[in-house]
Amino acid sequence: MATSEKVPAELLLAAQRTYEQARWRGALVVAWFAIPMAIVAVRGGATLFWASVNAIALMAVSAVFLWRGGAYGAAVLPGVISGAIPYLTPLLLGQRVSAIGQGNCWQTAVTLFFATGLVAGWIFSGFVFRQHAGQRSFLFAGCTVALLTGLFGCVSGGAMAVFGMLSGFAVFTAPAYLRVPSLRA
Amino acid sequence: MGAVSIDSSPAITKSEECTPQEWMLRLVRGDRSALTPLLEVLWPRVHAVALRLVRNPADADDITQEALLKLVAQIDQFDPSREVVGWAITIAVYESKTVRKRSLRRREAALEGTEERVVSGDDPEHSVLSQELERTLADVLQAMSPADAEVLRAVLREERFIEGINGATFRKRLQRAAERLRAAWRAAYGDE
Repeated sequence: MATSEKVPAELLLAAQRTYEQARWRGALVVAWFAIPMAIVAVRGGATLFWASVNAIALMAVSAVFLWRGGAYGAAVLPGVISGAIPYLTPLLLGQRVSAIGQGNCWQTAVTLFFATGLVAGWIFSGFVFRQHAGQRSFLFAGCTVALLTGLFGCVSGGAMAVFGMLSGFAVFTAPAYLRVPSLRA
Repeated sequence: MGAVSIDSSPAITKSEECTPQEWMLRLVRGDRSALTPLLEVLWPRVHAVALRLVRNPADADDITQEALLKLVAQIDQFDPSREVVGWAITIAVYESKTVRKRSLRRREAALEGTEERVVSGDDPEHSVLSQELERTLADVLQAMSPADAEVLRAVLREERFIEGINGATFRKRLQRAAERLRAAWRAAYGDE
């Protein structure tokens, strides 16, 4: 029988199990945000198939990062905020985005989503430099979430739009990734 | 998003200087190494409160374990502005009340159970035992006051009232009569 001062070993084991279950529960409750985002993206011109695939990927990735916690979990919200720029673009421009992607104006699609990726990358790198610890983990997790969020929007503009967004996003986040070891030291 | 924060604070290097609140915040942010120190720092405080409430070390251990497990289970709903020690103690107080109610009900059921074991059925042995029990009960009732006997006979007839007496009065009389019956039975036949 346990004494009054010492924590029983079975409590520690049970607490570890309970803690992990609680973290998963909290993560899964939050990760559902991807579903309404997918619905809105479909209304903005994204195909149901790609929006569903992207939503499942975003949900899974967000749930894992939130469960993991620390810098990974802290990066989910900034990732969503950053990715909101390319995500919202088709909603603001309406059907013109899918017309651009489906037509011959792929340069327009690339340029447009390069710009949105640029803004998203700039916003996200700002979050990275506010982070005190675990910048690499934060960068990795946030970039993944931001790109999956942005994909909802630029997938309606086609493959070239996706390429544009990725390129724009990398302009700011790649230097951040290179700077991060010096910041951590 | 209770488990998400944009700004994760700097790692605290001297772990022995952490307060329970700091351990809890680290745990909320996902630092698994904060779980054991948090439980170790909360256990004695919560256990002391539980022991004062139930006065039984075994029950106090159970209450403390239950309270700390419930605290950990609700980690995704933890409000950082709330004191973790106060929260743990609140859960322990609630658990103590549950344990006390449960022991009280167990004690009452044990007392009532000795009266309700009436053997019934077509088995000859059962009917002999049943008759013996009825004779014994009749003897004990004769030794009691007329008012007590009236109430107990009404219950044996599966009636929940006596004419001229309201429900609350009937129940009070029944409670007193049952206590006197137990005392009379023990005096006549012992505890078995």
